[in-house]
Amino acid sequence: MKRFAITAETIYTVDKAGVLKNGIILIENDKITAVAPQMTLPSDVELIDFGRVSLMPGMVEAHSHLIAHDWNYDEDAYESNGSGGSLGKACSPDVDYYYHFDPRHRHLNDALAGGVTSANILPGSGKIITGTGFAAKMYGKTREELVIKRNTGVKIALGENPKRAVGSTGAIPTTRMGSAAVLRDALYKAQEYMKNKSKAEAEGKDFTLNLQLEPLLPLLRREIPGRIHAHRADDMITAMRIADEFNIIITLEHTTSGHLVAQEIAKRGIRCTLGPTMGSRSKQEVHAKGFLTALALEEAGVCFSLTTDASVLAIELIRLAGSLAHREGLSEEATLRALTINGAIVTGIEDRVGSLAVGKDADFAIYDGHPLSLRSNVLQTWVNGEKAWDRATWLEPWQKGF
Amino acid sequence: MLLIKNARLFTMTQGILEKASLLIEDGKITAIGEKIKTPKGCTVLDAEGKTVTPGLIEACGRPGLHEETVGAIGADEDETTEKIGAYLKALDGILPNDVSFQDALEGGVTTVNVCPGTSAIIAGQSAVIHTAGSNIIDRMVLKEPFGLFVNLVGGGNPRQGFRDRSDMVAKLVNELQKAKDFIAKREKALKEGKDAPEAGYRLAPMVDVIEGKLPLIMQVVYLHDIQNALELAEEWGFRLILQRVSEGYFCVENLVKAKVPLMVGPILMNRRGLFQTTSHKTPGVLSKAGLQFALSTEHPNTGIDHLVTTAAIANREGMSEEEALKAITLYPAQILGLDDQIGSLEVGKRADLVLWSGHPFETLTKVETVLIDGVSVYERRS
Repeated sequence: MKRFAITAETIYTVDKAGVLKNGIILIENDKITAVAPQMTLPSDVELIDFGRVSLMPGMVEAHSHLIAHDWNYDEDAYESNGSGGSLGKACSPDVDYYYHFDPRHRHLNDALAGGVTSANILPGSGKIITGTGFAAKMYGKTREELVIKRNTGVKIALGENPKRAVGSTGAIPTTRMGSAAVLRDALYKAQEYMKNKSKAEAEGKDFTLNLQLEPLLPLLRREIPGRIHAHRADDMITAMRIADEFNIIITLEHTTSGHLVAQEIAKRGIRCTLGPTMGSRSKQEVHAKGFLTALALEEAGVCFSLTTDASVLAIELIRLAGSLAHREGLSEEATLRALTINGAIVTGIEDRVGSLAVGKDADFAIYDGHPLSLRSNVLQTWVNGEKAWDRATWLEPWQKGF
Repeated sequence: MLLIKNARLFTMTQGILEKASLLIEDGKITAIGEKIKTPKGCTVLDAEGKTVTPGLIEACGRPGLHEETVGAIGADEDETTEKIGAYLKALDGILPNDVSFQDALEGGVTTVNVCPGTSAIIAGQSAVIHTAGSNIIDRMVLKEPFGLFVNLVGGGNPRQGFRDRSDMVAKLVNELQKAKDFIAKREKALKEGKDAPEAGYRLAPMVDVIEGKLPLIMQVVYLHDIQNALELAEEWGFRLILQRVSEGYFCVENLVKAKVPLMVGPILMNRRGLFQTTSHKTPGVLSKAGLQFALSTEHPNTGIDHLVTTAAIANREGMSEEEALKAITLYPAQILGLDDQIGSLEVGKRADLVLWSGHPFETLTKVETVLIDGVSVYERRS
């Protein structure tokens, strides 16, 4: 068994232990087994003293489309939303985004270079139901080792994207009415299917599986959430209305108008991702975006995580989003949560990652200054108790030559 | 008259002046120094603990030309039907009260070179404008046309409608040749004592290009795009400005040798399509080789309010603080040929300046006041 301890001048645990000055974290294999302000270590336990640096949990990007972009210049598989089937052109719940996953992809290294150690990787938003996502570490040798959780939720999109992408082909939806109707239709069909399936199983009868509807069953059983793309407040409210009708759990994705309905989101305990907020207002539904939304959600008590929508923004810019939200007044403590533990909670992997606490994976990064400073650099990123990235030796792809 | 006193002045040409004063009269800076007497009837602004920089200059962006939030109905940067659009003018498409100009002011940007978009080989003429001051765009103009925006990127949006990279170069060269032929014809006519022929509005900008009156702002991403641009400029003798220069890290020596002005960026970007080889380290690599260049957001690729963020990250990733600040003030002013008016805090310059709550690169620093021609155009609501 590998057993060692780490210390640093400032440790942000993003947990009960708060901020520790020269505290000690004990790591056994890939897990954290103790976190304390002080600790007497057995003589056989090595102490790695990172010195005058800040140490914080590896950040968690809870809404990304990583890896789907091919390294080939003009290839862009981002809107990889499946081709539709019995549910019509606007739904492809049978698309499992996992099959995009290339564990050698540069995005993983970009993430580590930015202090990000885990991500929820989801299909796009060019349909009402685009498929299911998965959560992965950004460091590991095999694909199996990288994956934290398969099927982190069914990706659903409201708002203008599916209207544009599907509606322009002449199929429903061309309106927000149509979008909601398509979603209801799919969920009704899945409900009927679930009933028929249970009945057939109870009666011991043959039953033909419908692979388009199967992925919606865990959603109806409240085992996974529907992750609903909703920038505008009206789209968020529609999402809540439909969630109530079908008694499903949802997360709200993007929520750039979340300040308008923060109380409503808080009241229902819906978890959210917020962003991407940098960049221009490229479409109508993002018209209200700004870092003040983070303050409103925090004030209302919403559990939200900041997102880059990577690679809509490069994943390492998530920390910059934190810096800019902090500038607008989001407290240091809330900002760090929004970059780490909240992302883990939104993704549903908080038992593994997101804070420095006993029982969690030893995923962390060290910084040569305050983690939220525009001037500080990531020095090292550790995943599962191993050094996964080191600024001193890292080369960007282009630095390796042609 | 306005006297700003006790400020930390980042002059860009005379270093940093501590606890200094700056006098503004009739829209111009008329005195800078530690001991300036307050003239009679002058408004005094005590800027104790604050920093003053010149108004930031965005070397290439599309605020107002690509309107925010509305999509196609306000997307006026790409005349997709016209691949050879030397006669198109950005000025005709800029909405002066687009929300992006408010963003610009919030980020301390007072001047922007608005360039047409990326869907054509010759996209049109750029306009250098102030970011506030009027609902009439013509009254915001500092220089128009400034340059002709050309896309030489052999991929993504610019390549739409072309067979390949060589096809794009061929179309551009064809226009250059037409202009050259016209000049020869005109010279011949004048020699023979005949009336000079008219170039016409379509060809005239290209004639200006050949005669060195109008620079080509060439968007280049990949190594071979950059090299193509440099070689074409050498062959045809036009004034070249390289824009974006994403893979500049591959050909630093070429760039040092060519001495062409650079508008580097955006760097705070996605990792898709043409931006996959973008690096936060590019400005640092180029700067360390001795190159002086403008940093750019190419709004809306990065929001124009993040010009200063771009410089802060470039600084973090290897560019000196002084160079990073000059790259959003003095150097773009020089590239745009406006350094006699803007880009530094000097007597005689336009009073385009930004009052910051602290150092512009510190996380918690905010833009508090922005002046254009001595007039307050933005005050932060606290």
